[in-house]
Amino acid sequence: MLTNRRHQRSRRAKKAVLLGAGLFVGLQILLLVVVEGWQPLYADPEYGYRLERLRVLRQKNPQRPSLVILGSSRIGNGFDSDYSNSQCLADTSTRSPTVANLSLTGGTAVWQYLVLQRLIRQGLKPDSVIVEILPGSLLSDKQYFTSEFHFPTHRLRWGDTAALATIVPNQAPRHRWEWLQHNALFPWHAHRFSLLGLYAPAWQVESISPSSKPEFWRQTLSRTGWIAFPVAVPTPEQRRDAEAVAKQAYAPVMSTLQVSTEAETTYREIFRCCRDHRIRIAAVLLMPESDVFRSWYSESGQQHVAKFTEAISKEFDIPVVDARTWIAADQFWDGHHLLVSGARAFTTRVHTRLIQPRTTESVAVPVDVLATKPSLVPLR
Amino acid sequence: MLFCSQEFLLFFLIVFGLYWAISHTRFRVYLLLAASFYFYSSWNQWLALIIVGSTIMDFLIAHALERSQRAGIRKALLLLSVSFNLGILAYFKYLNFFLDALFSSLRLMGLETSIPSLEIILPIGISFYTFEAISYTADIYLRRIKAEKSLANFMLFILFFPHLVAGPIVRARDFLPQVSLHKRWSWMRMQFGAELFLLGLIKKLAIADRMAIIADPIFATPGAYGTVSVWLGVLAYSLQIYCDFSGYSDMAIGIAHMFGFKLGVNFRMPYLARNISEFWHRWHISLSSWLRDYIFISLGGSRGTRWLTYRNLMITMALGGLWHGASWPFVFWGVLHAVLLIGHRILRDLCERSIWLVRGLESYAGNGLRMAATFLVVSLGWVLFRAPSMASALEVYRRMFMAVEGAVVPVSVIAFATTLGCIALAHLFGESGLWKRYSQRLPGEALSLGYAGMALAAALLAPASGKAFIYFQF
Repeated sequence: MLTNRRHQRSRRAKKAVLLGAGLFVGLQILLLVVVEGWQPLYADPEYGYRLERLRVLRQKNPQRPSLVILGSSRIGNGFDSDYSNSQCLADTSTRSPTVANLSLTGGTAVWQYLVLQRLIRQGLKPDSVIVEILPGSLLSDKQYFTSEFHFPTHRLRWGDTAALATIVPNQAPRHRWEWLQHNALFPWHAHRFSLLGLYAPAWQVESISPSSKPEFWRQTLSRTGWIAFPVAVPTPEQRRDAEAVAKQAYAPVMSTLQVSTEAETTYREIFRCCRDHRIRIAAVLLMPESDVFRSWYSESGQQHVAKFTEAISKEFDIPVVDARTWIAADQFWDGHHLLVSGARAFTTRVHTRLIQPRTTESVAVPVDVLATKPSLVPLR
Repeated sequence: MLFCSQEFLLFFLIVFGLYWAISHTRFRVYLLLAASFYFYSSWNQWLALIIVGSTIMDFLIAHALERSQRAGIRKALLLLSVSFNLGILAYFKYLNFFLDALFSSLRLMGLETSIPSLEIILPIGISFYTFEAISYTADIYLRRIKAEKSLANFMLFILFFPHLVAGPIVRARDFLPQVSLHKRWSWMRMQFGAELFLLGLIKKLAIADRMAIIADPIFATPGAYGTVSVWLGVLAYSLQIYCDFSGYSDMAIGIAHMFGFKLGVNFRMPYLARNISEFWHRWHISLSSWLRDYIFISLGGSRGTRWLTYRNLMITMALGGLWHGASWPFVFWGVLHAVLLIGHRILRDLCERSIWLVRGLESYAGNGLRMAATFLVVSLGWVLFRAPSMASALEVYRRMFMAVEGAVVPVSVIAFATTLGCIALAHLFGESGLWKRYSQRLPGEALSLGYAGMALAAALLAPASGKAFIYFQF
């Protein structure tokens, strides 16, 4: 009797442990499949919501070509894609494109390449792109190639690690290992902030950066992916503080600015990828900066940037637009992020000079034509 | 290597797999010993040599102690072992504190001196394993146990990785007999171990680390926060320290069970204590019983006059405070608890004179009130424990008891209230025995759902990865 009861309890314990472990592992696999197959939002909320907006735009306007903006928060705030898109849609001819802003916060060359690759993989290859060059990143992007730098692998999907391996081959095994360790083993833990933000916001940790909260992106991104700067007119104190923060972050890099081989390679890879996939590069942009911000450049740094942009313009035959001096200082928050009024002025100019004229041309430019087109002189 | 890290999971799976694959008891001991050494060296390999050295030393002293029949030599050997262990502890943990106190006193006497601060790395778990070693030699001296013949067995007693860095403080008489026993695989034991581990995991990741988000900023800059936030921070810290430390203990006990070892219970729902004396019977039981057996009783315990008992309590608790950390707030925390224990003894004697008062205190309402009062004083004591300095602790107290405006700590009311509710419910279920009664009737499928749910909740609610356990610093 006693042995029988003991045997029953042992069987029950075995079932509880094995089923529990199996269930836990099964749930991990399920989420991994969901993230990899359908829901990039869980891994990278900013990209996920931008992608969602791009999809809607394309579904609504299937006959129109699409123009995608790649870059950092500078172009994310500075380029009012809502305005540009509405101007294009107002044109009844289906030649004018839909315009979507797929810039990412901290979106330097490496991230721009990843976004481009993600779009191609997901069958949302744009017809044309505008690529931002963030001068500071020409030096700082070097960090991605070092073993000390920890890439935020929780934002990646397996396909991204392959794309990353193309541009950062020396760190590829480490990136893949970290991805496996964090994303594949415990996806519920790796994507917990997104999951909590989406399904249990009361349990979201308040102190995490807003960029890790899906709610933040859902609310701040416009229907085309633009982020209108939340402050309309900053007080002098706010601007002074914001500039001090920007100075601390950027001045050391800009005073010693050089073009690292790594950043150069990454940009070339972006342009090569566009050429291979017949994506027209509408322009390469150097975003507006205030006088104060520009004063942090060393003279040699300025020369390095000029030399680099000139070289890529010639090599890939693409228009490089140096817009750094376009906007007055009072239109910035911190010297390099545009306020709404500044963004409107900048977008109008970019739209008129770079996007609108294209509506009369065929947007998908064949490789050979792209290669023989004369490069455009920076607009001043 | 934290218990709640992927690195540990891999380590555990390898050791666990090998352990049960080997059938030979001796080889299992060697395996656990090697694993424990690797576990400790993952923090610092040089400090791992210190623990090995001190363990060998204790082993040899214990043998000499057992062989010797002369009282003088035995006493000298015990003294040697205690001084050796306390010497290591004093050097690594207290040297800077003592130097600081010495030079401050010299300055008070008018002598101009500068304090030399030595860069000493504190070996993790030193307070725990030195106490284990002392209790071993003391028990041999008192002829309570025999000296262990096998060095490997003795080293495993000290180095066994589940309890090595933050307890529970195990006693040789409880642990050593288990080492030589041949262990058989038992699903019931695995289930119990896994259940305890998951309970600890959820306490640590989903409660303690989340409470730290509320408590940390308040204790870092108490002057910035208003009264309500400071009270909230203190409450959050009370929950944090309980869930952090008892979570670690649960995980340690659970892991040990999965290897077939039984470690003593370290926490028994301490916030349900109805007085401070009961609190110490429920909180960090392995330390409080150690302090009772080797300090309080050695000093005479409560056998002498009332004043002698109070003195013994004061010395024991002050040393207990100092054991936690080399700083004055810890000493004051110990003294505060001594005062509370003495106060409780006086109050108990007074109350026992009135039958009506005893009945009132023993009623539901009386018990509830006593629990609340005990929780309140313990929480007030935690301020001394957590504050980085006395000035900071005083600022917290000032802001708690004087209505002050200030910053508000961001807290999700739903999450906070739900967490409190869950803790209260778990305590009620645990204390009343309901959980034990009903969990035995639950089918395996239902239990498995619960286990998967617990693991998932811990993974989802963990606010950050790799936050160390509070008691690692002790």
